[in-house]
Amino acid sequence: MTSPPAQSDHELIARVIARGDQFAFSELVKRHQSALRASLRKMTNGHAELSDDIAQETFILAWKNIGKFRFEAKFSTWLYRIAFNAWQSDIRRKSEVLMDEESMPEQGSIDSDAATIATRRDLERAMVDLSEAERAAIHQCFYNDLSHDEAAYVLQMPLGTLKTHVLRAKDKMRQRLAAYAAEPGLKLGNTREAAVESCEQGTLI
Amino acid sequence: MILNHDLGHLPNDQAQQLAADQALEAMLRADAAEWRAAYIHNDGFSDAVMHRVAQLPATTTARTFGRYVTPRLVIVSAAAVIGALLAIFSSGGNLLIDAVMDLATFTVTPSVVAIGGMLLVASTATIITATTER
Repeated sequence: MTSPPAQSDHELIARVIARGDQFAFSELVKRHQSALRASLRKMTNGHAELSDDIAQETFILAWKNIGKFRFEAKFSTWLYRIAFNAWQSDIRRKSEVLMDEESMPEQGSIDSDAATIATRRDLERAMVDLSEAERAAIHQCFYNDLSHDEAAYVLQMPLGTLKTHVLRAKDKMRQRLAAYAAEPGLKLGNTREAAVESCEQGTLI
Repeated sequence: MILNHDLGHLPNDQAQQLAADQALEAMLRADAAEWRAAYIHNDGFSDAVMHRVAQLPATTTARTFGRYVTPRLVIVSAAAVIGALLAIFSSGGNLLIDAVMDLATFTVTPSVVAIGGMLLVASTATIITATTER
């Protein structure tokens, strides 16, 4: 016995728009919840409870506004856009600075070895100096794995501006990572040491 | 894999800059891949979302659809009424007969606009009623 073929996101969305089909919407939620929650955990610096609240709010907003969905974009990209706006609203509401050096991410959610954790920690530290727009650009392009076009859509900025933010962010991060490698007295994991030194010297990993 | 010899044709400082850029990208991509690979189990998350969705007014999508369609429906209705009035005054009341004759010869006249518009309004209203019923 074969199971019926899974419907595409766009087919499910069409059912939601035409009939307010809650079953179709719940399929969409199940499909995208992990990626969205993971992305928001990264954005909120590992704050699981806050990120899940924003993820829930994102899906509710998606339900309310699904009639405005234009089928040119991927549903996930549209969700990231809503999530980014919801996250920004939350920051404004609470006036919290989430990406500071004191609040490092919870490492428990991802199994990693010491060198990977050290690398991640360095990347987090290097991101502290970035402006909000630069950090958001890096997050969308790398952590959400979006193209520049998609990231510009999510962040609601012109493509050229996004590219500038990515370039500036990488430039700042490179300098920070090179500075960490030069810090005396640090005991680093081999992988992290190699990566940081390669940024400093321009060699490869 | 990033290779040093790929950068051999560039001046030294440019090659170093490019290599450093690639190294940073590799670090970011590796870190991002690990974040994405960590699947977050549903654990009642979608149930919580759907519970909240169920509490929202049931006509959410219907209202959105209606907001899109209603203005267009009004325009078509107005065109149909104007067409009907013009057809009645210009043809002595044989609206339906005139429209069928004009349609048969693919001619656009007020009576065709009137009958066509009325049919379009009626069918759209039927579709809206059928698709927004809960």
